Amino acid sequence: MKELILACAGFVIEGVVFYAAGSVVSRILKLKADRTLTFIVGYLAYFSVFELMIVPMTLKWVSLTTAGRIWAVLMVLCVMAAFFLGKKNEKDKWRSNLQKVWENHSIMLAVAGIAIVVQCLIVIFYQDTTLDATYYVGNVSTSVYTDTLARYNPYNGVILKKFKARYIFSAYPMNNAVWCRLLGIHPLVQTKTVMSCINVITANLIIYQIGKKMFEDDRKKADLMVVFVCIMQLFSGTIYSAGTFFFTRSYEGKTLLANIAIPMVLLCALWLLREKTSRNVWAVLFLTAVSALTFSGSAIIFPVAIAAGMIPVVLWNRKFSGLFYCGLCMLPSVAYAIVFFATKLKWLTLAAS
Amino acid sequence: MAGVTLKELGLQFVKVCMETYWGSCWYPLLFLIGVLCTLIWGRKKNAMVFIGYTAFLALTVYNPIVVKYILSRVKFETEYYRFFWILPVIPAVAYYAVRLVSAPGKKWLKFFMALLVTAALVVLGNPLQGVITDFARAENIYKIPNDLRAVCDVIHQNQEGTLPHVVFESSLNNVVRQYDAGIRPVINRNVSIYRAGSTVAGKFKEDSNYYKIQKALLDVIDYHMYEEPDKFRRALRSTTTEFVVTSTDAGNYEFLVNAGCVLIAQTESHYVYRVELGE
Repeated sequence: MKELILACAGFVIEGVVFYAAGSVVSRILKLKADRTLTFIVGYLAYFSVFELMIVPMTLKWVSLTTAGRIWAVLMVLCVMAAFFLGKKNEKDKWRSNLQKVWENHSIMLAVAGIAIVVQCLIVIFYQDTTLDATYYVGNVSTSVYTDTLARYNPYNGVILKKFKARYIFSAYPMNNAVWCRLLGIHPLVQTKTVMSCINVITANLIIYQIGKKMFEDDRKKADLMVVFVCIMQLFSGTIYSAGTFFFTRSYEGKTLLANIAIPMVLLCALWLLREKTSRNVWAVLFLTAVSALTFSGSAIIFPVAIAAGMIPVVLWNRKFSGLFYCGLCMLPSVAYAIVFFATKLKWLTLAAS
Repeated sequence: MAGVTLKELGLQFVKVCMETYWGSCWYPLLFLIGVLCTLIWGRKKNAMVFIGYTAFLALTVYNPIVVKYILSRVKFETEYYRFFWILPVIPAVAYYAVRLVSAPGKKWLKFFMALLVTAALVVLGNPLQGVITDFARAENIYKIPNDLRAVCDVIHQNQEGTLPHVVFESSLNNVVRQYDAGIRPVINRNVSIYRAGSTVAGKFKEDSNYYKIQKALLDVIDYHMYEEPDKFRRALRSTTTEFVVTSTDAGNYEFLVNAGCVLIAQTESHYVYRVELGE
């Protein structure tokens, strides 16, 4: 029962933090974002900042408790900033917004909502038996147990001599460890239930946003698109498909790369197609690129995703400055690739003890 | 992808990978039909994005020649399937499906069309094993076998030092540290994968002392081979194993007792032994 209460509390608190982060970033970028886009931007900004803060701390052997405290202070500041910045606007609009939401979506809102709830229930009740969890979840529980940031081998609890470059630059598991430390949630509950549910919701919101862009803001069609994507994810069953990862391995960073970061590129491409001169698209894509790295070392392929989605649009728009921004958004993965190969060639050692 | 190598397949590599990735699912075909329709009749600029994606990827990472001569150098074979995540097949098919549903003017026709499209997507897809078929339902909030929790309790009640060294049978070995990082499994995850015949998690020198010790433990605990009790005893001693956990239906009680293990507890489906080898 205690775990269930903690899980619910964690879900709400983490959700609030993502939304608050989105509100702050939207304000900074002067982004005209609805609530779903605000949440998505917040999610990406959260993981981008987390990556930039936690990776140096990991390499500096900072304890999990210290990292958690610093991160908690940042999160409180972020929520306070969002509250004070948004107070004026939100209060007045809340009632009229609810009415508008119903007008725009009608019954399709319930249909899409049910599809998302069903996906969350699948993720909550599914018991995964794949061997990869030994590392991804084991890393969280080991970090919580040893009060370190990924300095111990998750397979056997022995301190590492050096960090593995393949994993250490993806701070996503440490985000779970930080929440476990702050709220006292069990690592298995945080990774496989709380965060997994948030990931499912975020991925669906991205599909909804893609639908909105594809159908010129027709929300009902966007809702229907969410439902169809849900069905296809459930019926795209081979062990390699993004859908399989989505439902059975939602705690892994790779899943977020496939179902959040990569679809975000499609969203940005559609966004750029509509707003040719918008710089916000590139800002959001850059946040996506950094957070992709937070999720998984496989983000080494992210420049290909950026190029495939954005370059054709840049060429259609005939706004060639976009190529420069494309390059800029590829930088996080390129930097990671350089460090990764430098460690592989033993030019660089990342000592863990 | 296991068993799919550039060396063997050459220019066929991309095709085989794509077939393995999608299996019996027809969505890529629906995607291609949609893209073709956009090319021929497409007035909606938004759908042109899918053409951009397809063209770029076909020229680069899905191009068999590029893959054979460039990608082979960076040793990305086993992870190559991740490039298939980039092509937005599912969002695109969903987009075309919505357009199909919205095409009729009357509401009841739209509803009928939605049902038809849903049925088509289900029929043309391949249900997720363990999700749509034979749902693998979690036993508890931790999503681990209930028995593991009981086993961990027994070990902690009987441990003498910190981080007790425990030999677990395979169903618990890879799960235990996710639940309880205060226990150290003796059997290496990667060795157990290698012993099972797969090299995805690493290769080991079979004549090395480390591998021999691990194999001696695995042979008894997971493969039920009881020919060499001395090797097993030596392996327990050299790994300073304190507990052994086996399945109740493994049928190795007598062997383990003779090897110096003392049964201290039985849970629903496991025996927990304390290792008492003496001097």
